[in-house]
Amino acid sequence: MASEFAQHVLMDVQGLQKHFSVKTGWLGRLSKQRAPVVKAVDDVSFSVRRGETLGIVGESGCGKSTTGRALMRLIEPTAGKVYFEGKDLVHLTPREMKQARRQMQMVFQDPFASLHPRMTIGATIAEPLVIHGVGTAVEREERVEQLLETVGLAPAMKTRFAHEFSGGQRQRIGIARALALHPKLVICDEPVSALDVSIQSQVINLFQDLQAQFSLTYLFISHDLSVVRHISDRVGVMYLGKLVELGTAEELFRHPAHPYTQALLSARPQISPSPSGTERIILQGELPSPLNPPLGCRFHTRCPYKLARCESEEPALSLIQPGHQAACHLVTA
Amino acid sequence: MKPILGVEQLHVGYQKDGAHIEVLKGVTFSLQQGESLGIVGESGCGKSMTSLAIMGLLKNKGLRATQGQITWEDKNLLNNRAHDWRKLRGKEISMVFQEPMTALNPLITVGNQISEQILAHEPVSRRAAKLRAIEMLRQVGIPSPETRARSYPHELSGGMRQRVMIAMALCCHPKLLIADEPTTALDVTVQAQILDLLQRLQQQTGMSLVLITHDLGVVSQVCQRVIVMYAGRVVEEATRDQLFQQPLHPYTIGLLESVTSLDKGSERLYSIPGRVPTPGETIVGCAFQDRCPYAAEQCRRQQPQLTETEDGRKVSCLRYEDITEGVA
Repeated sequence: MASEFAQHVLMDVQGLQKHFSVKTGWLGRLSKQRAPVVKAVDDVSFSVRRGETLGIVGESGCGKSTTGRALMRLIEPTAGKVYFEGKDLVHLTPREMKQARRQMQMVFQDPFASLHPRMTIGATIAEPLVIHGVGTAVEREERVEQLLETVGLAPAMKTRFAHEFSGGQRQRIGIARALALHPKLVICDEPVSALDVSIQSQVINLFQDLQAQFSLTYLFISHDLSVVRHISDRVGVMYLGKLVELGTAEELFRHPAHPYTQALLSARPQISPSPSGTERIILQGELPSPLNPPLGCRFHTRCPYKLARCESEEPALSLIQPGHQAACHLVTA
Repeated sequence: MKPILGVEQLHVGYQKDGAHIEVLKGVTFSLQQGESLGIVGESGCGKSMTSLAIMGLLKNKGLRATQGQITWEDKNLLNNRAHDWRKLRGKEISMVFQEPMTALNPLITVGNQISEQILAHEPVSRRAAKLRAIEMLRQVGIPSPETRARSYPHELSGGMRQRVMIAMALCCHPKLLIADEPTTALDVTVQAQILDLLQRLQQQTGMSLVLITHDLGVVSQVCQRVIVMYAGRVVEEATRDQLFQQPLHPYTIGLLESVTSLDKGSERLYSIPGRVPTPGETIVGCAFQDRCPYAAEQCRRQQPQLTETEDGRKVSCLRYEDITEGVA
């Protein structure tokens, strides 16, 4: 059983936490108050299966990007375990972690900020190979050309600099760099959000082609529900540092269980020839401050179906149907 | 009925290294009283330029209108002088920008920023202006407006700031509100609140609304009529229903097909090949030819004109009839 689990699961995340303490300055230290803590990611557990795309959606400040970075240990998680192929990444030494990162790479949101402006894109794509000491200079050169072709750019472009490319092309360069080391897992943090619609669809298609070609596993983080719906096999929804719902894309979008997921889906402006007949759920109020999250269910301040116990008792993520979990008293009761 | 705003053959451009680069190449459209018009297109298509031209803000960006006219109540706005603009902006025509943080003054409380505008346009006392500012904040759904009026912009969330921008834009009861990507910087649940607010205020006040956005979903939710822009030109104009039921221009067709949607499955997305031409690129014929699956010989020679079809919509494509009839 255990080995079968390990065969299917590439990454298993258990109780991941990332808390940031807020700097208070010397007056705050004098008053001896405990520094306030932002619980950016609070007890998040999920697993990523081999070859699948797991989408993570949520609004700004929900902790989705922090989750992605904590998995790579680009920021150190406060607590929790991240098993990658059975090995707990959190306890690896820096040297072991460097090795582990060969298997997992990241594509960032802003193609303008994530490429070095003074390196040629050939050097940018070859950098992971240099860092990990892969191949000779000539072999690396060949690999760069091959990667550029894979992502749909001309190999001759390797001598150019990032500023000579458009947003969509830069994102392709970022993808080529992520693929250089033949990773198993690619964490994509809002990879198409900065792109225009027509370019967005090109890059989404590229992601899907590459997945088929190299049997990649994606963790796809985005605020855009329809992009996530399109690309993901399973989807997790985050709110204020918590995973509130997790299920297959099909099931989650057809029968959203958590009131927050329902509101998110209904809020998204859909293209329809005439305004939709169904009443849209428009949430009242705004995201509470993560410095001082509501007690009980974190969504209760905006939830249209709030019960008394929601204010005091925190719902746990529990199975409501095979392959569909939600953290809400309404659905588990 | 006579339109409240008419834009005709508007050309706008700038000088770069001694060359004249055109960003708007003959934009034409009109707006009726009380109507909501959406302008959609991707970055660089000229949608924001169009709004800056209407607001007389081109000069600040080093741009100049070289041809055409913008008619507002029988006057050509392009002939306006500085003091005409001051009377018009904020009073008759108002604008809401994408990024509320950069559009608000960080050193002045939001209440004072709103009353400042009222005082600039109307002969009222400071006290009356302040009360009206608070009333406006209440109307845009800001809780405890008396306290909030004393807040500085940095103390407010993105959604609240955008509400303040809308309050400010509407405090002198403009006849036209131009909203340039008003919800692009906001989260979906907050976006829904702001779009709902804009629609409600428009119905209450009967003002006209020009909504500029790249998001086809937003347009389909808010606007009655839509114009689609590409490379500095209007390529299609239609009512919302017409446009989303049967787009005519190949660019609009491609855009609608390449959008991911919640209803569509995960089959492969259509994507428009290539990229948007950069400003200053000289293209003979239709600007969309290199990306168009229907491009023919004539498209490479002749610039299509925006022409009216039988059912009153407009399209700028030489082959739209062939495309709709399925000949192409």
